[in-house]
Amino acid sequence: MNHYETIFIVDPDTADDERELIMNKVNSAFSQKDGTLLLLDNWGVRRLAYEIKKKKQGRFIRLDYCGNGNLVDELERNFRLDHRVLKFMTIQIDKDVDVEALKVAITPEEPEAGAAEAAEETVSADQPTTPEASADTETETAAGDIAQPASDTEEQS
Amino acid sequence: MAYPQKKRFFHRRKVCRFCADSTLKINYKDAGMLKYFITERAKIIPRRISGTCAKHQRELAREIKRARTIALLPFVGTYDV
Ligand SMILES: [Zn+2]
Repeated sequence: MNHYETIFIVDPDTADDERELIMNKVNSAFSQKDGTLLLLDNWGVRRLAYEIKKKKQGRFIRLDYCGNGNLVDELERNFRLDHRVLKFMTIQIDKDVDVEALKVAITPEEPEAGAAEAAEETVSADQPTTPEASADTETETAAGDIAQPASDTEEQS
Repeated sequence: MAYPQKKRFFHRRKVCRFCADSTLKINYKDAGMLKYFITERAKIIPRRISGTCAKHQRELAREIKRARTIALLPFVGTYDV
């Protein structure tokens, strides 16, 4: 089993149910060729760096998965046949990987994000308690900071 | 004096940005970062200009080419972009 990453760009004008069909094909490829989908990352509609099939925008979807070469072949075959898929690219991240280890490595991301949110909450809770009297000194130092980098850049040029 | 005085060039100290900061990862998905290493015409900036070391320039070139493939970066740019 190798670790792959595939990004494919779907025509932004396709309806939700049609996009569902593409995803069904992707999922059936995974079950057929026994691959493990680790992450389905939807980037949403983004501007393309160049026009593809007269389209200036595209919906980017990233698949992070484990599987063999025949799975990649099957996925790419489906993308190639589907006119709603503007472009796709597969990158091999790693060879002969341990799928279970990768699953563990990817799932703990969510609890961490929750912890980060909790940390932010405590920060925001602290902010109102800071006295306004210190605001004057803060603005002074800030003004000094702005003035300094400007002079630095002048020296460099 | 027979010979004119040799012109003194100003040499900017060039350091590989990726060696200096190991937290900086070169990845094709980070098109915003790769933009600093391409010209307005979307050409890859040579390492004699950017100061990137050979190892990181190879990685950079590979990732820029990947980003181009999946339309995150242009193959050709224009002046007015
Ligand atoms: Zn380097």
